[in-house]
Amino acid sequence: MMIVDCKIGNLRNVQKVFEKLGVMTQISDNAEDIEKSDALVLPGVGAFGDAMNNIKSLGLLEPLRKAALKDKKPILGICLGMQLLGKESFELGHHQGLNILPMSVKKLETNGLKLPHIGWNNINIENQASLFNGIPADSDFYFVHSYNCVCEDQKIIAATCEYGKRFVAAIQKDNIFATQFHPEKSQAYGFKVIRNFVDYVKGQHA
Amino acid sequence: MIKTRVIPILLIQDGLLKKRIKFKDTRTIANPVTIARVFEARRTDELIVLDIGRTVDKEDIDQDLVRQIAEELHMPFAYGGGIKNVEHITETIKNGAEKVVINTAAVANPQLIRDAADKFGSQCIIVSIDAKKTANGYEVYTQSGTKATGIDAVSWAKEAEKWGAGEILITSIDHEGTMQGYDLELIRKVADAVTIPVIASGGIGKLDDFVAGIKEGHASAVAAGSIFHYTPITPNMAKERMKEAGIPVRIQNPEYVA
Repeated sequence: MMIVDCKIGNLRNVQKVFEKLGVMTQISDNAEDIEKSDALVLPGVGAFGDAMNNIKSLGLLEPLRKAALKDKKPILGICLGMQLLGKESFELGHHQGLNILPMSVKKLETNGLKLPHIGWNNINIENQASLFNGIPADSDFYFVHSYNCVCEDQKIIAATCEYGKRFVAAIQKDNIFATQFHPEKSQAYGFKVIRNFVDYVKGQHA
Repeated sequence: MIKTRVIPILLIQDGLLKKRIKFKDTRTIANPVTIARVFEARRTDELIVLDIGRTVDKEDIDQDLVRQIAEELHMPFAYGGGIKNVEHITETIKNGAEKVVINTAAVANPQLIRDAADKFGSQCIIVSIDAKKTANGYEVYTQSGTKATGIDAVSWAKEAEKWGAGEILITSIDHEGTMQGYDLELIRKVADAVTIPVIASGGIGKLDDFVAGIKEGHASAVAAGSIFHYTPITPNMAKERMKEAGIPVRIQNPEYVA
C-alpha cells in the first residue's frame, strides 16, 4: 500500500490508521513505487493547483493514471485526493486534474451557509456502496472543504451529504474509491471505511 | 446536517498542559499527550492545542509535541503558538495538525494569512483573536495577551476574513479561566460581523454556557478548557445539554468498533 506524497498532504494521519489495521504502508513520491505497490492512497490537504503542480513536477501524472485506469490498482482518494481524481477544478483559477473520473471540482453551493464546510456531518449511503459496509445509516464523518466534486455519472456516487444543498460525499467506481470527508479523522466509522477499502484490496490479491 | 462542535482547548507551555486565569497565574496540570488520548477515547469532535510559551520572538515550534499529540488522535486538531511563516505551517500540517492557529504573527503581517490560505486553503487557517473589554468596545491583544495593539477586535475579525482566514477563534481575556461563562457580547459581535465560522472561547463554567455560546453568542462552535480539566464534565455531557436545547450535535456510539 503506497501513500502518495504530493508534498502538501497530511500523510502520517492516514498512515497510522492503516498501521492500526495491520497494513504495511510506504509514503513515497516516486513513480517506480507506484508501479510496485498493490494499492494507492491519495490523501490531501491544501489547494488543488499546488497539488497538481507538485504531481506534475514529480512526474507522477501518467504513472497515477496508468495505475488507476490500465493496471486497475485500488485507489483511495481522500478530500483533496478525491478532487484530484476529477478532470478539472475551479479552485483559485482553472486547473486540469488527473482526469481519472468524470467529475469537476466546483465551489460548494450552500444556499447561504458559511464556507468552508467544516465539521461533522451525517451522510446518506448511495447505490449500496460496499465502501460503507457495516456502517449505520446517517453516521457522522468529518468534513473540511470549500469545494466539492460534481459528478456526471450518478451511479458512481457512494454517499451524499447535505450542507445547504446535497453534494457528493464519496465515490466508488470499480477499483477507485474516494471520500470528500476525512476517514482518518472520523474515529470509529472512519476506521471502518478504511477497513472496507483494505478488505477490497485483500480481495484483489486473494 | 452539520453538527455543532465542542472543542477542548489544551494550553501548553514547556511541554506540559497548563491552566491559567485571565492569561495569568499559569499552573501545570498534566501531560498533554495523555490528555489528548483521553479526549480521543471520549470521541471528542476536535481539539485545539495552543503553546502559550511560543510567542513570535521566541524559539521554534515544538514539532515533537505536535507529532506526539497527532499520533494519539483520529480527530482533527489545530495547533497554535509561535507560527510565524508559511514554512512553520507546512511543517506543522505535515506533522499531523489539521489546521493552524495564528494570532500575533497575523496581526503583525496579515499577508501571512493570505499566503497560508493560498497554499493550504482557508479551511486550514484559524485566526485567533484575544480581546479585552474597553470603554468603547474590545481591544486586540497579542503575544499571549501581553501586548495591547489598539486594534478593535470586531474590525480585525472582518479584516482577517478578507485576508483569507477560514475560522476565527475568539477568546475573552477577561473571562478566560474564570469559569464564569463566555463574554457573550464579544462573541456575538464578532460572529455577526463575519461570514466564516467563529469558535467561542474563554470562561465556560457550566453546561448551559455551551448552549449560550451558540444561541446567544451566535458562534459556530464552542471551545473550553478548565471545565474539561477541572470538573467531571465531558464534551459528551455538553453535547447532551446542547441537544436538549435543539442544537444539532454528534454523539458517536462508543460501543462501535470498526
